Amino acid sequence: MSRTFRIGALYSRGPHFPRVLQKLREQHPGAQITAIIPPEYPRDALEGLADAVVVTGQNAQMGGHWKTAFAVLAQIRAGKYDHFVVMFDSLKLRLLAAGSGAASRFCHSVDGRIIPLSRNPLPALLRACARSVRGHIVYAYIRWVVYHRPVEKSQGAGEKKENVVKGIGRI
Amino acid sequence: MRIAFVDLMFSWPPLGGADVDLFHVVCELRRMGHETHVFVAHDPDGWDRGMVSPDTMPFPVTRLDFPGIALDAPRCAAAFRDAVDAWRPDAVFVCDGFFLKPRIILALSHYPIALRYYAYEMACHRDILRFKDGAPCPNAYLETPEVCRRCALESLGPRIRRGAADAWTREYLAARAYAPEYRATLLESLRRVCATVVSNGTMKALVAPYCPEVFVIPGGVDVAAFSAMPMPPADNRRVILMPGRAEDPAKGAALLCEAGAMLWERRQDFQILATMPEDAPKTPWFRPIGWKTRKALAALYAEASICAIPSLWEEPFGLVALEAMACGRPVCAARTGGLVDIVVDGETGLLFDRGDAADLARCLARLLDDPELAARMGAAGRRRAASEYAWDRVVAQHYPPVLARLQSGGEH
Repeated sequence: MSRTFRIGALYSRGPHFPRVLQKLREQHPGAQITAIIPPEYPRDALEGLADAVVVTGQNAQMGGHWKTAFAVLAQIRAGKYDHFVVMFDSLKLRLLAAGSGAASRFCHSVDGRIIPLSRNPLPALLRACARSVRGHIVYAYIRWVVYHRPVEKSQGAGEKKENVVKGIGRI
Repeated sequence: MRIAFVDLMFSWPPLGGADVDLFHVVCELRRMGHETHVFVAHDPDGWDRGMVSPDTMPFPVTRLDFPGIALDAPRCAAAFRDAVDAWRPDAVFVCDGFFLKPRIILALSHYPIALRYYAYEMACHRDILRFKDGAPCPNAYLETPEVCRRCALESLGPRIRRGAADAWTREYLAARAYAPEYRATLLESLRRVCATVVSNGTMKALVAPYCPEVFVIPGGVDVAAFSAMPMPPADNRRVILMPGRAEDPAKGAALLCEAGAMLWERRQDFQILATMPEDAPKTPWFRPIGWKTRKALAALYAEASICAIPSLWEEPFGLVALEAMACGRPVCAARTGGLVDIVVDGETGLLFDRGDAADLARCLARLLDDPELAARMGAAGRRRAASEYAWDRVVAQHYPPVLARLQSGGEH
């Protein structure tokens, strides 16, 4: 009998964390999801989103002594996760993910995109470069449009309606 | 009446006030006997669009998938038109969304349409706040399109170059909002709606010249979730709570700190708690307490003696003021946007001049000095929240005229 697919998700600040858990729940409905949270994180935010909770000694996102980082890493490794998720992308979190022992590691970006964290940084670097080149081309085009193609207010004052607007409610 | 709601952002559990508004409006309209169906855009590659499980909702919801680059204006508008046409409504509400809303309105213009604005998305291309350099921006896209196009380019440029895909930027690109033709599309869409619903007078003044009829409808509050609580004892170090996204500069936490510093020089009987990341700077009298869920926030009001809302932008509505009032707490709020409508100065709280730290400090001192006044204002706030802003009251009082106008196809 195969064991349940285990997912560990490391806390990030604010409302992003429940969104990530919700996303993971949608993508892996049968998985056991563990939320790894600092002591101050409100537990009621995790209702229905996480199957288990691991409370770290300190918020791993906020840095601190290297001993704290190792303690958090030990807690993560003890979970024996198949899939480990961090947010957002940073060298520190990449290192933590690399040390998690999970077979697959992902980063959820601020806008919700999921970036695989490979031990080999080259594919990620190439993807980021390609995205940046495309972004610069799009930006250059938009800049040209904004500065060289002005809006024509062809209808002048007639753009505004003439009737008096009635409102309701207290203003 | 069969009413379709089209929403480009809706998520549940809610990610913002617009989601809460849609949820309660739909629930109440159903209670009033109307048939409803909510159509939402869902982005499987992100988390800020359509994070809702239709099976768990108390009303029918259809999710339309637009993965990543598929969010282009023609495809989006056609998908919504086909889905709504299949349900055959009598009227359509176009709710939360940004730059794609005009295209969707044009695609659905064979129905009577009510357009809902929750913030300043029609007037500002930079963000929904219409807030720049620490103050409300005096420009509006329809009036000053060139200024607004350049401002948006400057603001969104780094995100576009990075290839970032937040909901705002994605719609800006998908709708080609930077193009000169976008303004004509927006104007045409505004002409075709039967009714526009906004939250405050400032918003009404912005859209009124372009829309056939504008209704000002406030949001509501869940008076069961935020119930009246006894005031904490006045002999303790009293808590001034700043709820909401306090880390956003437009919310004015820096101003509250300035007022707090003025107060601290004269008295040390208070503490300010703000719902912002815990790693923000602390002082002996200011403590960031991190993000709180709605349930945790309701409990937090029990500890607070005063709720401070020092907003620098023109709050479209100001839900946190209403939640504090529902909990029986006096509100010390900036005289700006929807807060002016919610807080009755001298009765349910005190209003101070926006951006004036000394005035804010004066108002806070007055409430700290007079716990009986604070308790009286808190009780009056609770009564006002329950009698005027409970969701059933808001919908029953304000929506029938909108529906009547839609039913008459705009001839009402």
